Amino acid sequence: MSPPTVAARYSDLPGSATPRILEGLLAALCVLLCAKFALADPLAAPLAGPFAYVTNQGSHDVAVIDLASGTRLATLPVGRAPAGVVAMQRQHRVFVTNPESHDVSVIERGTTPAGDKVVAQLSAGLAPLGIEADEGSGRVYVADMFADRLLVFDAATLERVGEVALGKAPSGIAVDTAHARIYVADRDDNAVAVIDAATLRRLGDIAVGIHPFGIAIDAARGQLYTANVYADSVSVVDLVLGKVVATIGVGKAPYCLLVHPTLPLLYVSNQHSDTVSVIDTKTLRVTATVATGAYPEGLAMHPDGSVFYAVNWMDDTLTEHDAWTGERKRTLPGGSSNRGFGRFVVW
Amino acid sequence: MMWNVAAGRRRLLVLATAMVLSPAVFAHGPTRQKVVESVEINAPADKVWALVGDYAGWQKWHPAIEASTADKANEAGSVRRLTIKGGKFLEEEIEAYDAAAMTLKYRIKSGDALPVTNYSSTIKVSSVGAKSLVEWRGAFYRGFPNNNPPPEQSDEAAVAAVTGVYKAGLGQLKAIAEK
Repeated sequence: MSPPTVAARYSDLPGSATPRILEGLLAALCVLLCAKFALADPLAAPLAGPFAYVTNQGSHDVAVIDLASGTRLATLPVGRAPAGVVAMQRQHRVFVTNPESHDVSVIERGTTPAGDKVVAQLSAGLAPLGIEADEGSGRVYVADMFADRLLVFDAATLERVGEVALGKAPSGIAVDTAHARIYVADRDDNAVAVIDAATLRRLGDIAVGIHPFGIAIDAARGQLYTANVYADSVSVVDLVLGKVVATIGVGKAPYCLLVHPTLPLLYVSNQHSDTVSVIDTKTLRVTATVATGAYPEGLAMHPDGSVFYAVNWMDDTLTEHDAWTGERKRTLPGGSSNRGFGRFVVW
Repeated sequence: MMWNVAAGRRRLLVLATAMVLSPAVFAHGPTRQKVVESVEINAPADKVWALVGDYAGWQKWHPAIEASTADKANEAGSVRRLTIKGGKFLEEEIEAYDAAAMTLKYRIKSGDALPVTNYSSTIKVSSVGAKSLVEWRGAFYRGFPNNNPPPEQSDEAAVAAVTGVYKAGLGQLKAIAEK
């Protein structure tokens, strides 16, 4: 008997991507209903969205951009040199890392972006950068790059509830909710740390390419990807085997990664090439390399899966790209040295 | 002068060690900095690109460069060694060379001439009618790899040094190309 495929093995494990897809559909339906309701009120402007919460390193604020119209609806002052961001749909909160003021800003979302406000500034070690959240458990994970640790916050109470010692220069974070695992790219160790989300115990490390920064989980295929900045490559880690099974050459200085929620596609921002690589995650081949703005960093998906956005640090722009081909469709004005390192789009 | 950031013995040691070692093992400051400088030149773009696009020939127009050699001319991957006036050096590698788009992308591999790490740059020449526009962009981290840097290894020092290099270079490029 031939060994089971990764997909088959994963289907045996509890949980799957399905609840998340349903959740997305419900959120979309809710928004449509809300929009319809709002339209019925002649005094209320129709709800647009979704919204991008983009960190502007140079102006120390977050721009809230309506992705339908491409216009900035609000500007929220946060800490110094904001970089990482995670928008929590269910919690109506957006968390932003400020490496230079060593804290995390908490944005409470209003009914419209005009009502958004910063409600807290959480002390977060020496250099908080990478950030990810699990909406199910309501936890926010922050990589403290200079103190080599992961900080864990409760998204509701804003208490710091845990800490995990990591390797050198922890950067990107990915959460596998189905299997209660947290993965952190320990950049200067060329490795990924594996953490049990329930016990916050570090279970081990997986060697990857040189200088991994961005990281993404692909639950449907049981894989994890890392963007290896100094190797110009993406490592593909089989989560069951716990090791690299393939290495894909991409552009220069790959930085951030994005996995499509339903299609077998992975996107990679190549900072020194001013491009995004589109990778077919079934064949593990690059199917397209498309122009972005200069120094693309953060990548995030439109909730309907039709387009994704690249935040271009050098250009102060966002570019919108077709999900299938990667082709650039629009260029939106961004902010000063905008980064958007994390999941920055929500309804 | 622009490359010559005043500093004590300790800084030089730290910086030289940091930059001569492989950057792969070297941490950097918390946030990347950028410098964008441009100049309009009253000369056709082809003439300006003949100077800018000659990877091993920047000593012909940059006032801080004394000598330059490159191992693979203008090919991607070509590494040039710039000897800076005063004796410091930079080793830089071509990341992309596009003659049609008159664009050169390169990064610093090693060297002690600038208080920066993880430096990468794009220089581009565009036609503006009979004139040309040169834009030079740099992205880099400061020299000090942690919080609370000494002043000479701060973000401000890094930005000032790179700005000085770009302004001096573009100014002289304009003067030479317009002759």
